[in-house]
Amino acid sequence: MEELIPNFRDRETQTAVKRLVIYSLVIIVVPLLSMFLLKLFLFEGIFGYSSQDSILYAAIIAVVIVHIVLGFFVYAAWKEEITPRTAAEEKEEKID
Amino acid sequence: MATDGDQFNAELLAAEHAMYAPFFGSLGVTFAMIFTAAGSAYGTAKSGTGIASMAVARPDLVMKAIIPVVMAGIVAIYGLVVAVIVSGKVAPGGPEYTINDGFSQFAAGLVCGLCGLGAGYAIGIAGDAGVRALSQQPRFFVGMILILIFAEVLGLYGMIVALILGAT
Repeated sequence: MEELIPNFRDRETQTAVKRLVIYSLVIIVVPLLSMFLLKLFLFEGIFGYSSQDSILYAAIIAVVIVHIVLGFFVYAAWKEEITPRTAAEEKEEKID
Repeated sequence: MATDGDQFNAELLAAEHAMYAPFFGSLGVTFAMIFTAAGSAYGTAKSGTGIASMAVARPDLVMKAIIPVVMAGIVAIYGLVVAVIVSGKVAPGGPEYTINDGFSQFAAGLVCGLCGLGAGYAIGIAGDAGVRALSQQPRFFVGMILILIFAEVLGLYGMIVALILGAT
């Protein structure tokens, strides 16, 4: 714990964890919500498809949306600047 | 001879409209969900141990390291989607729901479930090794993502075949 808590007080770690929580919630909630809302309001409500057809199209769109969100997730993780702590510094810390 | 043929046709029709057809359809729904959930659980647990052991040293890499868990979660979403779609089609056996429908939904559930199981296993093992390597060498990130995407796509193939089988 003595190691963990200072790590979470670190600003970079905090922003990483915050972003992680937001993206994780988005990737869980958005596809499920979009699937059922698209079925109810777009395909059944506006286009007037049958329940079976509309759930199929809504599901396909939900899966596509999942991959778009995943793409954003990976992009955000990729763009996160590589921290200055390199392996050499870790060795120095261990020596200290 | 004509009566024999009529009787044969009647028996064939009765066999096609079997009352146990929904059994196979429901079993397909069940398999789609439980096998993908099992694969997803294995992938989450296996890559989770790797993330836990690398995050002690590098908690700032958590955003990069959590990607195997997200991908394993998506495999379970495939199973959920197929289960929801197929379960809407299960009906009492009869002219509206022949044994053919039951079997094709059974096959749809199995193909989605077992592809998801395999994808989850692959994500778990590759993700575990990948995040451990990531803590030593952050430039491995792109390689890990590629490996995970190729594992993930296996589950997607299963879902596509399941939608074709179960929804038509």
